[in-house]
Amino acid sequence: MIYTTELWKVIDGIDDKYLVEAMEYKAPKRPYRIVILGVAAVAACIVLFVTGLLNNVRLPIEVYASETEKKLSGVETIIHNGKITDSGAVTGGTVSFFVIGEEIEKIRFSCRNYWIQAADSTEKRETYGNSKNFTLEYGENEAEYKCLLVVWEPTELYFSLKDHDKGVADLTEEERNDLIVLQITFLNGREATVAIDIHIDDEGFISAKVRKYKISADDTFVLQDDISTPHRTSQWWDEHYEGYDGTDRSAEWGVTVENKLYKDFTEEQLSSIMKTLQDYYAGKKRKILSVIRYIGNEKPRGGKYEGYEPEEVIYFRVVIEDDTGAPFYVAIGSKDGWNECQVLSEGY
Amino acid sequence: MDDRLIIDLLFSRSEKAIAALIEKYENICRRVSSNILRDRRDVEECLNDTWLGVWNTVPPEHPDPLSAYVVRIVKNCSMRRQKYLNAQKRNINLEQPLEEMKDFLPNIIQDDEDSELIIHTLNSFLEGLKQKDRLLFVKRYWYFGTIEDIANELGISQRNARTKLFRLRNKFKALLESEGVEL
Repeated sequence: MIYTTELWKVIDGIDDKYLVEAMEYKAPKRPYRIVILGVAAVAACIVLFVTGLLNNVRLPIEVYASETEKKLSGVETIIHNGKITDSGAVTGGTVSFFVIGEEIEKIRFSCRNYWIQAADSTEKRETYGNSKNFTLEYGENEAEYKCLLVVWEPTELYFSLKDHDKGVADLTEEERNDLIVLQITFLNGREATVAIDIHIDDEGFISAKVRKYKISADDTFVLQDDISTPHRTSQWWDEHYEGYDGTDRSAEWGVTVENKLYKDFTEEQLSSIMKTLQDYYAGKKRKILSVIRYIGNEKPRGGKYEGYEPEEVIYFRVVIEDDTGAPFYVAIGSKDGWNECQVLSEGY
Repeated sequence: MDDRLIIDLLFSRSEKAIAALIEKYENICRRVSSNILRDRRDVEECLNDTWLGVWNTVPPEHPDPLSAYVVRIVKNCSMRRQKYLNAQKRNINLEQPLEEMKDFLPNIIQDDEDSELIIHTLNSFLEGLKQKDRLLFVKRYWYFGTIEDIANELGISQRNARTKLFRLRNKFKALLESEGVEL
Protein backbone atom coordinates (compact mmCIF):
# COMPACT_ATOMS: atom_id res chain seq x y z
CA MET A 1 0.00 0.00 0.00
CA ILE A 2 1.33 3.40 -0.92
CA TYR A 3 0.21 6.47 1.00
CA THR A 4 0.00 10.13 0.05
CA THR A 5 3.42 10.85 1.53
CA GLU A 6 4.99 8.27 -0.75
CA LEU A 7 3.42 9.25 -4.07
CA TRP A 8 6.86 9.81 -5.48
CA LYS A 9 7.28 6.03 -5.50
CA VAL A 10 4.55 5.77 -8.11
CA ILE A 11 6.21 8.37 -10.30
CA ASP A 12 9.39 6.35 -9.93
CA GLY A 13 7.88 3.93 -12.42
CA ILE A 14 8.58 6.38 -15.23
CA ASP A 15 10.43 4.62 -18.03
CA ASP A 16 14.21 5.09 -18.06
CA LYS A 17 14.16 6.62 -21.53
CA TYR A 18 12.26 9.65 -20.22
CA LEU A 19 14.72 10.15 -17.38
CA VAL A 20 17.61 10.01 -19.85
CA GLU A 21 15.81 12.37 -22.24
CA ALA A 22 15.35 14.90 -19.43
CA MET A 23 18.94 14.50 -18.28
CA GLU A 24 20.43 14.98 -21.72
CA TYR A 25 18.12 17.69 -23.08
CA LYS A 26 19.77 20.90 -24.09
CA ALA A 27 17.68 23.82 -25.32
CA PRO A 28 18.44 24.54 -28.98
CA LYS A 29 20.79 27.47 -29.52
CA ARG A 30 19.39 30.50 -31.24
CA PRO A 31 20.34 30.73 -34.91
CA TYR A 32 23.60 32.53 -35.45
CA ARG A 33 23.11 35.83 -37.09
CA ILE A 34 25.65 38.11 -38.52
CA VAL A 35 25.24 41.50 -36.98
CA ILE A 36 26.94 44.55 -38.24
CA LEU A 37 27.92 45.70 -34.78
CA GLY A 38 29.01 49.18 -35.60
CA VAL A 39 25.83 50.24 -37.39
CA ALA A 40 23.61 48.39 -34.93
CA ALA A 41 25.32 50.04 -31.99
CA VAL A 42 24.98 53.52 -33.46
CA ALA A 43 21.32 52.89 -34.31
CA ALA A 44 20.63 51.63 -30.80
CA CYS A 45 22.23 54.69 -29.26
CA ILE A 46 20.15 57.00 -31.39
CA VAL A 47 16.95 55.21 -30.41
CA LEU A 48 17.87 55.27 -26.74
CA PHE A 49 18.80 58.95 -26.88
CA VAL A 50 15.62 59.95 -28.67
CA THR A 51 13.37 58.10 -26.23
CA GLY A 52 15.33 59.47 -23.29
CA LEU A 53 16.33 56.08 -22.00
CA LEU A 54 20.09 56.59 -22.06
CA ASN A 55 20.08 58.16 -18.62
CA ASN A 56 17.29 56.03 -17.20
CA VAL A 57 18.13 52.41 -17.96
CA ARG A 58 18.47 51.45 -14.31
CA LEU A 59 15.53 51.77 -11.96
CA PRO A 60 15.99 54.55 -9.40
CA ILE A 61 14.93 52.28 -6.51
CA GLU A 62 14.76 48.59 -5.68
CA VAL A 63 11.55 46.83 -4.73
CA TYR A 64 11.51 43.69 -2.62
CA ALA A 65 8.73 41.23 -1.81
CA SER A 66 8.77 41.32 1.97
CA GLU A 67 7.66 37.73 2.57
CA THR A 68 10.30 36.12 0.38
CA GLU A 69 12.77 39.04 0.47
CA LYS A 70 13.18 38.53 -3.27
CA LYS A 71 14.15 41.56 -5.27
CA LEU A 72 11.71 42.27 -8.05
CA SER A 73 13.06 42.64 -11.55
CA GLY A 74 11.71 43.10 -15.04
CA VAL A 75 10.93 39.38 -15.10
CA GLU A 76 7.93 37.99 -13.20
CA THR A 77 8.92 36.50 -9.88
CA ILE A 78 6.79 34.55 -7.44
CA ILE A 79 6.60 36.84 -4.44
CA HIS A 80 4.53 34.93 -1.99
CA ASN A 81 4.87 31.57 -0.26
CA GLY A 82 1.13 30.93 -0.29
CA LYS A 83 -1.59 31.40 -2.86
CA ILE A 84 -5.18 32.50 -3.39
CA THR A 85 -7.48 29.50 -3.26
CA ASP A 86 -10.67 28.86 -5.19
CA SER A 87 -12.66 29.64 -2.04
CA GLY A 88 -11.09 33.10 -1.84
CA ALA A 89 -8.80 32.39 1.12
CA VAL A 90 -5.17 33.40 1.05
CA THR A 91 -2.65 30.93 2.42
CA GLY A 92 0.71 32.17 3.66
CA GLY A 93 1.36 35.71 4.86
CA THR A 94 0.53 39.07 3.31
CA VAL A 95 1.47 40.13 -0.19
CA SER A 96 3.62 43.11 0.61
CA PHE A 97 6.62 45.07 -0.61
CA PHE A 98 9.28 47.39 0.66
CA VAL A 99 11.42 49.85 -1.26
CA ILE A 100 15.15 50.35 -0.91
CA GLY A 101 16.87 53.40 -2.35
CA GLU A 102 18.99 56.42 -1.60
CA GLU A 103 17.74 59.68 -0.14
CA ILE A 104 14.04 59.16 -0.78
CA GLU A 105 11.84 61.91 0.57
CA LYS A 106 8.47 60.31 -0.10
CA ILE A 107 6.62 57.92 -2.39
CA ARG A 108 3.03 58.24 -3.47
CA PHE A 109 1.51 54.82 -4.12
CA SER A 110 -1.55 54.31 -6.33
CA CYS A 111 -3.34 51.02 -6.95
CA ARG A 112 -5.41 50.47 -10.07
CA ASN A 113 -7.83 47.59 -9.47
CA TYR A 114 -7.67 46.65 -5.80
CA TRP A 115 -6.35 48.19 -2.55
CA ILE A 116 -3.12 48.93 -0.79
CA GLN A 117 -2.25 49.49 2.86
CA ALA A 118 0.80 51.03 4.48
CA ALA A 119 2.49 49.78 7.64
CA ASP A 120 5.45 51.22 9.52
CA SER A 121 7.05 49.04 12.16
CA THR A 122 9.00 52.06 13.46
CA GLU A 123 5.60 53.65 14.25
CA LYS A 124 6.87 57.07 13.29
CA ARG A 125 4.75 57.80 10.26
CA GLU A 126 1.13 58.09 9.29
CA THR A 127 -0.01 54.76 7.87
CA TYR A 128 -3.08 53.62 6.01
CA GLY A 129 -5.75 50.97 5.85
CA ASN A 130 -7.37 49.91 2.56
CA SER A 131 -6.70 52.77 0.18
CA LYS A 132 -6.38 53.58 -3.49
CA ASN A 133 -3.65 56.17 -2.98
CA PHE A 134 -1.45 57.39 -0.17
CA THR A 135 1.91 59.03 0.33
CA LEU A 136 4.47 57.42 2.57
CA GLU A 137 7.21 59.58 4.08
CA TYR A 138 10.69 58.02 3.87
CA GLY A 139 13.29 60.55 5.06
CA GLU A 140 17.01 60.57 5.65
CA ASN A 141 17.30 57.38 7.69
CA GLU A 142 17.66 54.80 4.92
CA ALA A 143 17.86 51.95 7.45
CA GLU A 144 14.16 52.50 8.13
CA TYR A 145 13.07 52.06 4.54
CA LYS A 146 12.83 48.30 5.00
CA CYS A 147 10.32 48.87 7.84
CA LEU A 148 7.83 50.57 5.55
CA LEU A 149 5.60 47.92 4.06
CA VAL A 150 3.00 48.37 1.36
CA VAL A 151 0.45 45.57 1.50
CA TRP A 152 -1.58 44.61 -1.54
CA GLU A 153 -5.17 43.63 -0.72
CA PRO A 154 -7.41 42.29 -3.51
CA THR A 155 -10.48 42.38 -1.26
CA GLU A 156 -13.10 42.25 -4.03
CA LEU A 157 -11.33 39.22 -5.46
CA TYR A 158 -11.86 37.24 -2.26
CA PHE A 159 -15.58 37.97 -2.42
CA SER A 160 -15.75 37.31 -6.13
CA LEU A 161 -14.27 33.85 -5.64
CA LYS A 162 -16.29 33.03 -2.58
CA ASP A 163 -19.68 34.30 -3.66
CA HIS A 164 -19.71 33.52 -7.36
CA ASP A 165 -18.87 29.86 -7.44
CA LYS A 166 -15.87 30.22 -9.72
CA GLY A 167 -12.25 29.28 -9.36
CA VAL A 168 -8.99 31.13 -9.72
CA ALA A 169 -8.56 29.61 -13.18
CA ASP A 170 -11.79 31.36 -14.26
CA LEU A 171 -10.67 34.86 -13.32
CA THR A 172 -10.72 37.49 -16.03
CA GLU A 173 -7.56 39.31 -17.07
CA GLU A 174 -8.65 42.36 -15.14
CA GLU A 175 -9.32 40.32 -11.99
CA ARG A 176 -5.98 38.50 -12.06
CA ASN A 177 -3.79 41.53 -12.81
CA ASP A 178 -3.14 44.74 -10.95
CA LEU A 179 -0.80 47.70 -11.15
CA ILE A 180 0.74 49.74 -8.36
CA VAL A 181 2.36 53.01 -9.46
CA LEU A 182 5.08 54.59 -7.34
CA GLN A 183 5.71 58.32 -7.74
CA ILE A 184 9.06 58.84 -6.05
CA THR A 185 10.41 62.16 -4.81
CA PHE A 186 14.03 62.22 -3.70
CA LEU A 187 15.51 64.54 -1.12
CA ASN A 188 17.26 66.52 -3.83
CA GLY A 189 13.96 67.19 -5.58
CA ARG A 190 14.44 64.68 -8.37
CA GLU A 191 11.35 62.67 -9.30
CA ALA A 192 10.86 59.26 -10.88
CA THR A 193 7.98 56.87 -11.54
CA VAL A 194 8.05 53.11 -11.27
CA ALA A 195 5.28 50.50 -11.51
CA ILE A 196 4.77 47.06 -9.97
CA ASP A 197 2.77 44.63 -12.11
CA ILE A 198 1.04 41.94 -10.06
CA HIS A 199 -0.31 38.77 -11.59
CA ILE A 200 -2.26 35.78 -10.26
CA ASP A 201 -1.87 32.56 -12.25
CA ASP A 202 -4.42 29.78 -12.75
CA GLU A 203 -3.37 28.08 -9.54
CA GLY A 204 -3.49 31.21 -7.41
CA PHE A 205 0.25 31.84 -7.17
CA ILE A 206 1.11 35.53 -7.08
CA SER A 207 3.99 36.99 -9.04
CA ALA A 208 5.21 40.50 -9.68
CA LYS A 209 7.69 42.49 -11.71
CA VAL A 210 8.84 46.08 -11.62
CA ARG A 211 9.50 48.52 -14.43
CA LYS A 212 9.89 52.18 -15.21
CA TYR A 213 6.56 53.83 -15.84
CA LYS A 214 5.14 56.91 -17.52
CA ILE A 215 1.80 58.18 -16.23
CA SER A 216 -0.73 58.86 -18.95
CA ALA A 217 -4.05 60.69 -19.03
CA ASP A 218 -5.79 57.31 -18.86
CA ASP A 219 -4.31 56.58 -15.42
CA THR A 220 -7.21 58.11 -13.53
CA PHE A 221 -6.38 55.98 -10.48
CA VAL A 222 -3.11 57.92 -10.20
CA LEU A 223 -4.38 61.36 -11.19
CA GLN A 224 -7.29 61.38 -8.70
CA ASP A 225 -7.06 62.94 -5.24
CA ASP A 226 -5.96 60.49 -2.59
CA ILE A 227 -8.54 57.93 -1.55
CA SER A 228 -7.20 56.58 1.70
CA THR A 229 -8.29 55.22 5.06
CA PRO A 230 -6.23 55.97 8.14
CA HIS A 231 -5.01 53.04 10.15
CA ARG A 232 -6.90 52.52 13.37
CA THR A 233 -4.29 53.33 15.98
CA SER A 234 -4.78 52.38 19.59
CA GLN A 235 -5.25 56.07 20.31
CA TRP A 236 -8.20 56.11 17.94
CA TRP A 237 -9.74 53.15 19.71
CA ASP A 238 -9.17 54.69 23.12
CA GLU A 239 -10.86 57.88 22.01
CA HIS A 240 -13.84 56.00 20.69
CA TYR A 241 -14.15 53.60 23.58
CA GLU A 242 -13.63 55.72 26.65
CA GLY A 243 -14.49 54.26 29.97
CA TYR A 244 -13.74 50.66 29.14
CA ASP A 245 -13.19 48.90 32.42
CA GLY A 246 -10.67 46.37 31.12
CA THR A 247 -12.69 43.30 32.02
CA ASP A 248 -11.41 40.37 30.05
CA ARG A 249 -13.80 37.52 29.66
CA SER A 250 -11.57 35.59 27.26
CA ALA A 251 -11.10 32.78 29.77
CA GLU A 252 -14.82 32.16 29.79
CA TRP A 253 -14.77 31.05 26.17
CA GLY A 254 -11.17 29.87 25.97
CA VAL A 255 -10.70 32.36 23.15
CA THR A 256 -8.87 35.67 22.94
CA VAL A 257 -11.55 38.22 22.23
CA GLU A 258 -10.72 41.76 21.19
CA ASN A 259 -11.37 44.23 23.97
CA LYS A 260 -13.61 46.45 21.92
CA LEU A 261 -16.22 43.76 21.58
CA TYR A 262 -16.98 44.13 25.28
CA LYS A 263 -17.95 47.74 24.66
CA ASP A 264 -20.06 47.04 21.61
CA PHE A 265 -22.18 44.30 23.16
CA THR A 266 -23.73 43.43 26.47
CA GLU A 267 -22.53 40.33 28.23
CA GLU A 268 -25.60 38.38 27.08
CA GLN A 269 -25.20 39.51 23.47
CA LEU A 270 -21.52 38.64 23.40
CA SER A 271 -22.22 35.24 24.92
CA SER A 272 -24.79 34.63 22.21
CA ILE A 273 -22.34 35.59 19.48
CA MET A 274 -19.51 33.49 20.92
CA LYS A 275 -21.80 30.49 21.34
CA THR A 276 -22.91 30.82 17.72
CA LEU A 277 -19.29 30.85 16.56
CA GLN A 278 -18.25 27.97 18.76
CA ASP A 279 -21.20 25.83 17.72
CA TYR A 280 -20.45 26.58 14.10
CA TYR A 281 -16.80 25.60 14.35
CA ALA A 282 -17.39 22.68 16.68
CA GLY A 283 -19.11 21.01 13.75
CA LYS A 284 -16.02 21.62 11.66
CA LYS A 285 -13.69 20.37 14.40
CA ARG A 286 -11.67 23.56 14.49
CA LYS A 287 -10.49 25.47 17.49
CA ILE A 288 -11.03 29.20 17.55
CA LEU A 289 -7.97 31.02 18.77
CA SER A 290 -9.13 34.64 18.64
CA VAL A 291 -12.01 36.80 17.52
CA ILE A 292 -11.86 40.45 16.65
CA ARG A 293 -14.30 42.71 14.99
CA TYR A 294 -13.39 43.23 11.37
CA ILE A 295 -11.77 46.60 10.91
CA GLY A 296 -12.18 47.87 7.37
CA ASN A 297 -13.85 50.78 5.75
CA GLU A 298 -16.59 52.60 7.59
CA LYS A 299 -19.39 50.82 5.78
CA PRO A 300 -19.84 47.11 6.17
CA ARG A 301 -18.15 45.38 3.30
CA GLY A 302 -19.00 42.27 1.46
CA GLY A 303 -22.06 40.81 -0.16
CA LYS A 304 -25.60 41.61 0.86
CA TYR A 305 -27.48 38.98 2.82
CA GLU A 306 -31.10 38.41 1.98
CA GLY A 307 -33.38 39.52 4.77
CA TYR A 308 -30.68 41.42 6.66
CA GLU A 309 -30.04 45.15 6.77
CA PRO A 310 -26.36 46.15 6.74
CA GLU A 311 -26.45 47.09 10.42
CA GLU A 312 -27.77 43.63 11.24
CA VAL A 313 -24.60 41.97 9.92
CA ILE A 314 -21.21 42.11 11.55
CA TYR A 315 -17.99 40.71 10.12
CA PHE A 316 -15.58 39.05 12.49
CA ARG A 317 -12.01 38.14 11.83
CA VAL A 318 -11.58 34.70 13.32
CA VAL A 319 -8.24 32.96 13.63
CA ILE A 320 -8.58 29.22 13.95
CA GLU A 321 -6.09 26.49 14.55
CA ASP A 322 -5.48 24.87 11.19
CA ASP A 323 -2.62 24.25 8.84
CA THR A 324 -2.76 27.52 6.97
CA GLY A 325 -2.79 29.88 9.94
CA ALA A 326 -4.82 32.25 7.79
CA PRO A 327 -7.71 34.20 9.32
CA PHE A 328 -11.29 33.55 8.31
CA TYR A 329 -13.76 36.36 7.95
CA VAL A 330 -17.11 35.30 9.34
CA ALA A 331 -20.34 37.19 8.77
CA ILE A 332 -22.83 36.89 11.62
CA GLY A 333 -26.32 38.32 11.39
CA SER A 334 -29.04 38.94 13.91
CA LYS A 335 -32.62 40.10 13.54
CA ASP A 336 -33.25 40.61 17.23
CA GLY A 337 -30.43 42.78 18.54
CA TRP A 338 -27.87 40.03 18.98
CA ASN A 339 -29.81 37.97 21.45
CA GLU A 340 -29.89 35.27 18.82
CA CYS A 341 -27.69 35.21 15.74
CA GLN A 342 -26.61 33.06 12.83
CA VAL A 343 -23.45 32.56 10.83
CA LEU A 344 -24.25 33.81 7.33
CA SER A 345 -20.95 33.08 5.60
CA GLU A 346 -17.32 32.36 6.33
CA GLY A 347 -14.03 31.48 4.80
CA TYR A 348 -13.04 34.46 2.66
CA MET B 1 33.94 7.81 -20.65
CA ASP B 2 31.43 5.58 -22.34
CA ASP B 3 28.96 3.82 -20.01
CA ARG B 4 29.99 0.43 -21.34
CA LEU B 5 33.58 1.07 -20.26
CA ILE B 6 32.44 2.15 -16.81
CA ILE B 7 30.42 -1.04 -16.48
CA ASP B 8 33.40 -3.08 -17.62
CA LEU B 9 35.49 -1.42 -14.90
CA LEU B 10 32.81 -2.22 -12.35
CA PHE B 11 32.67 -5.83 -13.44
CA SER B 12 36.44 -6.09 -13.18
CA ARG B 13 36.22 -4.45 -9.71
CA SER B 14 38.60 -1.70 -10.70
CA GLU B 15 38.72 1.32 -8.42
CA LYS B 16 38.87 3.48 -11.52
CA ALA B 17 35.16 2.69 -11.93
CA ILE B 18 34.19 4.96 -9.01
CA ALA B 19 36.35 7.80 -10.29
CA ALA B 20 34.76 7.41 -13.72
CA LEU B 21 31.25 7.38 -12.22
CA ILE B 22 31.95 10.52 -10.26
CA GLU B 23 33.46 12.33 -13.18
CA LYS B 24 30.51 11.58 -15.41
CA TYR B 25 27.55 11.69 -13.05
CA GLU B 26 28.45 13.83 -10.07
CA ASN B 27 26.85 17.00 -11.44
CA ILE B 28 23.50 15.48 -12.31
CA CYS B 29 23.39 13.45 -9.11
CA ARG B 30 24.21 16.47 -7.01
CA ARG B 31 21.46 18.40 -8.70
CA VAL B 32 18.89 15.63 -8.20
CA SER B 33 19.83 15.30 -4.55
CA SER B 34 19.91 19.06 -3.96
CA ASN B 35 16.36 19.36 -5.27
CA ILE B 36 15.33 17.07 -2.42
CA LEU B 37 17.74 17.86 0.42
CA ARG B 38 18.54 21.33 1.64
CA ASP B 39 21.69 20.60 3.56
CA ARG B 40 24.87 20.23 1.55
CA ARG B 41 26.23 17.68 4.01
CA ASP B 42 23.19 15.48 3.50
CA VAL B 43 23.67 15.77 -0.27
CA GLU B 44 27.33 14.73 0.05
CA GLU B 45 26.36 11.71 2.12
CA CYS B 46 23.79 10.67 -0.45
CA LEU B 47 26.31 11.02 -3.25
CA ASN B 48 28.75 8.81 -1.38
CA ASP B 49 25.98 6.29 -0.77
CA THR B 50 25.17 6.38 -4.46
CA TRP B 51 28.68 5.51 -5.63
CA LEU B 52 28.76 2.75 -3.05
CA GLY B 53 25.33 1.60 -4.12
CA VAL B 54 26.43 1.29 -7.74
CA TRP B 55 29.64 -0.49 -6.71
CA ASN B 56 27.73 -2.99 -4.57
CA THR B 57 25.08 -3.81 -7.14
CA VAL B 58 27.04 -3.85 -10.39
CA PRO B 59 27.63 -6.75 -10.89
CA PRO B 60 25.38 -8.69 -10.88
CA GLU B 61 23.20 -5.89 -12.26
CA HIS B 62 24.02 -4.80 -15.77
CA PRO B 63 22.14 -1.52 -16.01
CA ASP B 64 21.28 -0.06 -19.36
CA PRO B 65 21.12 2.88 -19.46
CA LEU B 66 23.59 3.40 -16.62
CA SER B 67 22.60 7.07 -16.28
CA ALA B 68 19.01 6.27 -15.29
CA TYR B 69 20.25 3.59 -12.87
CA VAL B 70 22.55 6.03 -11.12
CA VAL B 71 20.00 8.85 -10.80
CA ARG B 72 17.40 6.42 -9.45
CA ILE B 73 19.82 5.36 -6.72
CA VAL B 74 20.66 8.93 -5.74
CA LYS B 75 17.02 9.93 -5.76
CA ASN B 76 15.91 6.99 -3.63
CA CYS B 77 18.72 7.66 -1.21
CA SER B 78 17.81 11.34 -1.00
CA MET B 79 14.11 10.65 -0.49
CA ARG B 80 14.88 8.17 2.30
CA ARG B 81 17.11 10.70 3.96
CA GLN B 82 14.52 13.47 3.57
CA LYS B 83 11.91 11.24 5.16
CA TYR B 84 14.25 10.63 8.06
CA LEU B 85 15.01 14.32 8.44
CA ASN B 86 11.37 15.25 7.97
CA ALA B 87 10.30 18.27 10.03
CA GLN B 88 13.78 19.29 11.08
CA LYS B 89 14.90 20.16 7.60
CA ARG B 90 11.84 20.71 5.49
CA ASN B 91 12.43 21.64 1.91
CA ILE B 92 9.77 23.76 0.29
CA ASN B 93 11.25 22.99 -3.14
CA LEU B 94 10.29 19.38 -2.53
CA GLU B 95 6.99 20.02 -0.80
CA GLN B 96 5.52 22.01 -3.64
CA PRO B 97 5.78 19.35 -6.38
CA LEU B 98 4.67 16.67 -3.90
CA GLU B 99 1.66 18.79 -3.08
CA GLU B 100 0.91 19.22 -6.79
CA MET B 101 1.12 15.46 -7.27
CA LYS B 102 -1.87 15.07 -4.97
CA ASP B 103 -3.87 16.75 -7.76
CA PHE B 104 -3.45 13.81 -10.08
CA LEU B 105 -2.67 10.77 -7.96
CA PRO B 106 -4.95 8.94 -5.53
CA ASN B 107 -4.46 9.39 -1.80
CA ILE B 108 -3.80 5.75 -1.21
CA ILE B 109 -2.76 3.11 -3.71
CA GLN B 110 -4.06 -0.15 -2.40
CA ASP B 111 -2.07 -2.78 -4.19
CA ASP B 112 0.48 -3.57 -6.85
CA GLU B 113 -2.21 -3.91 -9.50
CA ASP B 114 -3.36 -0.31 -9.01
CA SER B 115 0.23 0.85 -8.91
CA GLU B 116 1.04 -0.91 -12.17
CA LEU B 117 -2.03 0.52 -13.87
CA ILE B 118 -1.01 4.04 -12.86
CA ILE B 119 2.56 3.53 -14.02
CA HIS B 120 1.42 2.05 -17.33
CA THR B 121 -0.99 4.95 -17.85
CA LEU B 122 1.71 7.43 -16.90
CA ASN B 123 4.22 6.09 -19.41
CA SER B 124 1.57 6.05 -22.15
CA PHE B 125 0.65 9.59 -21.21
CA LEU B 126 4.26 10.71 -21.45
CA GLU B 127 4.71 8.94 -24.77
CA GLY B 128 1.85 10.95 -26.25
CA LEU B 129 3.14 14.34 -25.14
CA LYS B 130 5.19 16.83 -27.10
CA GLN B 131 8.80 16.71 -26.00
CA LYS B 132 8.76 20.00 -24.10
CA ASP B 133 5.62 19.05 -22.20
CA ARG B 134 7.12 15.68 -21.34
CA LEU B 135 10.35 17.27 -20.18
CA LEU B 136 8.39 19.73 -18.07
CA PHE B 137 6.45 16.94 -16.38
CA VAL B 138 9.44 14.69 -15.75
CA LYS B 139 11.70 17.48 -14.58
CA ARG B 140 9.06 18.66 -12.13
CA TYR B 141 7.67 15.41 -10.76
CA TRP B 142 10.60 13.06 -10.99
CA TYR B 143 13.58 15.38 -10.71
CA PHE B 144 11.71 17.86 -8.45
CA GLY B 145 13.17 20.79 -10.33
CA THR B 146 12.04 24.29 -9.34
CA ILE B 147 9.79 26.18 -11.73
CA GLU B 148 12.50 28.78 -12.14
CA ASP B 149 15.18 26.23 -13.13
CA ILE B 150 12.89 24.25 -15.42
CA ALA B 151 11.66 27.39 -17.18
CA ASN B 152 15.26 28.48 -17.77
CA GLU B 153 16.27 25.06 -19.09
CA LEU B 154 13.36 24.88 -21.50
CA GLY B 155 13.54 28.51 -22.57
CA ILE B 156 10.03 29.40 -21.42
CA SER B 157 8.67 31.86 -18.85
CA GLN B 158 7.85 30.75 -15.32
CA ARG B 159 4.22 31.72 -15.89
CA ASN B 160 4.10 29.55 -19.01
CA ALA B 161 5.70 26.65 -17.10
CA ARG B 162 3.14 26.86 -14.31
CA THR B 163 0.21 27.06 -16.69
CA LYS B 164 1.43 24.11 -18.75
CA LEU B 165 2.00 22.01 -15.63
CA PHE B 166 -1.46 22.83 -14.38
CA ARG B 167 -2.97 21.67 -17.67
CA LEU B 168 -0.80 18.54 -17.79
CA ARG B 169 -1.88 17.54 -14.30
CA ASN B 170 -5.52 17.95 -15.23
CA LYS B 171 -5.01 16.00 -18.43
CA PHE B 172 -3.31 13.11 -16.65
CA LYS B 173 -5.93 13.14 -13.92
CA ALA B 174 -8.70 12.87 -16.52
CA LEU B 175 -6.83 10.02 -18.20
CA LEU B 176 -6.48 8.11 -14.93
CA GLU B 177 -10.14 8.57 -14.15
CA SER B 178 -11.05 7.27 -17.59
CA GLU B 179 -8.97 4.16 -16.77
CA GLY B 180 -11.09 3.62 -13.72
CA VAL B 181 -8.65 4.88 -11.11
CA GLU B 182 -10.48 6.59 -8.29
CA LEU B 183 -8.93 9.89 -7.20
